[in-house]
Amino acid sequence: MKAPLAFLCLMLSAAPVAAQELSVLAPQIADLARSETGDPDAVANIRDALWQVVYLSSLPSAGQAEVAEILTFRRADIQAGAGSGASGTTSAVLNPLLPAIFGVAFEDGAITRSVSGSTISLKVAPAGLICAARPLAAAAVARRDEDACRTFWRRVGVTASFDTTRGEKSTKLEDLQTLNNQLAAVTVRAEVLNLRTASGARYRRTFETRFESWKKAATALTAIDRETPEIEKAKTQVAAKLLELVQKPDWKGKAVDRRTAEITAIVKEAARPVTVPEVQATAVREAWLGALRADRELQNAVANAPVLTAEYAFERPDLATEPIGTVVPEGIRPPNLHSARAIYAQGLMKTSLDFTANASFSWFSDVRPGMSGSFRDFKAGVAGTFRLRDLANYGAPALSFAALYVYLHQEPLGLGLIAFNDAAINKPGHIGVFQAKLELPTAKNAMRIPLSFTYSNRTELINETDVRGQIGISFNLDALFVEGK
Amino acid sequence: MTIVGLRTYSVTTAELPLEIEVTAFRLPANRAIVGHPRVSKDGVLLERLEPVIEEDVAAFVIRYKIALPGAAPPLPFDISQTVDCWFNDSSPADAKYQIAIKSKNGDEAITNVRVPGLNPGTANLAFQVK
Repeated sequence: MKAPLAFLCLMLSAAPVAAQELSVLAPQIADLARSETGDPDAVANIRDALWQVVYLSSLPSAGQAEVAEILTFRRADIQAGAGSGASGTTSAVLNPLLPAIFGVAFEDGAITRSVSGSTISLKVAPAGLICAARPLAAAAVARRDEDACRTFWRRVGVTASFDTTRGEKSTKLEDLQTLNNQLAAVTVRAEVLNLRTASGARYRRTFETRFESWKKAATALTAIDRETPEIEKAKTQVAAKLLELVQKPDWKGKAVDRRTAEITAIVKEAARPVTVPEVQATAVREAWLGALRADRELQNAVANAPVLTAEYAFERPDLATEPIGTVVPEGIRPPNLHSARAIYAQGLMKTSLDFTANASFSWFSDVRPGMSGSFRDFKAGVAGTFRLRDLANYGAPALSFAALYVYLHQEPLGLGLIAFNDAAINKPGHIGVFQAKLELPTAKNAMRIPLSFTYSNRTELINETDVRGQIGISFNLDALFVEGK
Repeated sequence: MTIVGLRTYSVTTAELPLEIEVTAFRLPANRAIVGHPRVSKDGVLLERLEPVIEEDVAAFVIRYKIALPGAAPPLPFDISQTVDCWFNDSSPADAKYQIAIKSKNGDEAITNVRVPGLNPGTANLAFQVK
């Protein structure tokens, strides 16, 4: 009987500090739990953040709404890699960002082509790679610090796409002789404008108004004496007990989970009896909330800043084994294709909704008898992407809806042109595509898996309604370069 | 200057002023907010000092000094200070603020504020002046 009674007493006395208030210390506690040596900085970071637990705990009902709002600003995820920059081309509308250094994407499926293929894309920012070779610079380049790679060329990326299905033939492709060379396309992309990666002085200049608003609010929070004698006493207790814990001989042998539980128990016990005068609590909570709101506005301004990218692509089609109409004789490769594209992204202020617009046109490298000129097509697309809440240890998923319009001016004598069923496939015309896509992060955002469903009224080659599913995988290998600065 | 505890330093008046440098790593900007150094004796607050902050935006560094207070109380007395360090939601797990404290005689102590669960990450510095 004694044991359940003791347990009940313990639960009641522990009630004021709830798990959600302690969760604000989760990264600091995890930091110490992972430290074999019991890093004093990790202990100090827990001790000095104790005020947060106290001001979020044991509050009268008047402060509960503020506490609930403050808790919405908690970090749900601590990402290990650089931000997402890689994108697969399972997208109807392209993302404007390239990796800062290096990325790889594999995609299977097609958007406007009639025959789905599998493509591996290698994406590299050559200047970023050269800058990253300097000692200590790699991490700064990976996080897109402008000062780490001061050259215009860091804004230029190159993508080489290899069609891994070349060399194989499906029954539908029997009239096509595939190329042994799997190089399908080369793309050069240049960031004309990218304010989202601004850092240092440029960050301050670009977001000056929001920065100053945040600084004013944050300074008001720091100016308040948050530490009461009771909080100071609790801090001293936490520091002493944590140091005692990590100095015990068995600390190194304990599992991280057990260390975490023991650290949490110490923090909870120290914070439990602490109360602060309501006037003081209200002043701190209001200043804290004001600073957090200003911080969110600043971060939204950065995430929603405009990005403009220009892109040129060169694509090589396969050889034709049968004549393609009167334009391409047997054994001749159809004309190569050049494309120029502009990609613009801009977020909606105070939201997590990002709009991306693409416009492109393509033209053949030569005009052959039977062609109506070199102009091949015009494409325009728009996408709205919702940045969803981070998944702990994974990253932030993104849900997007996109619409793409393609005007095919003449026969699609380019990549993806397959000489079969020509009565139905070679007509110029209008193509409409709608796509819903969910991009799932994993490996702390270094790897992303886009899943999409696409509806189109027709494809380039087959004049029929088409519904497709696509899957891809992309690696942002910038994370490999993130090591000590 | 001697480290006598967590972010707690014992200094002599001859070692003042202390030069303090806060550097942001893996962040787009240094968003550390330096609070007023508070001078106290036996737990009683006597004076708030106004730090003169110098910022090197391109180097992500904030510098300031803590000098002997103009109306210094009899020795020993304490100077304490709060530095609030703000992080971005998207900052990597190894983002940090490094606080380097250098005394006049060249002694140096370093402490790091790492990514918190909720902004701001806080460092409470304490100097026991003897």
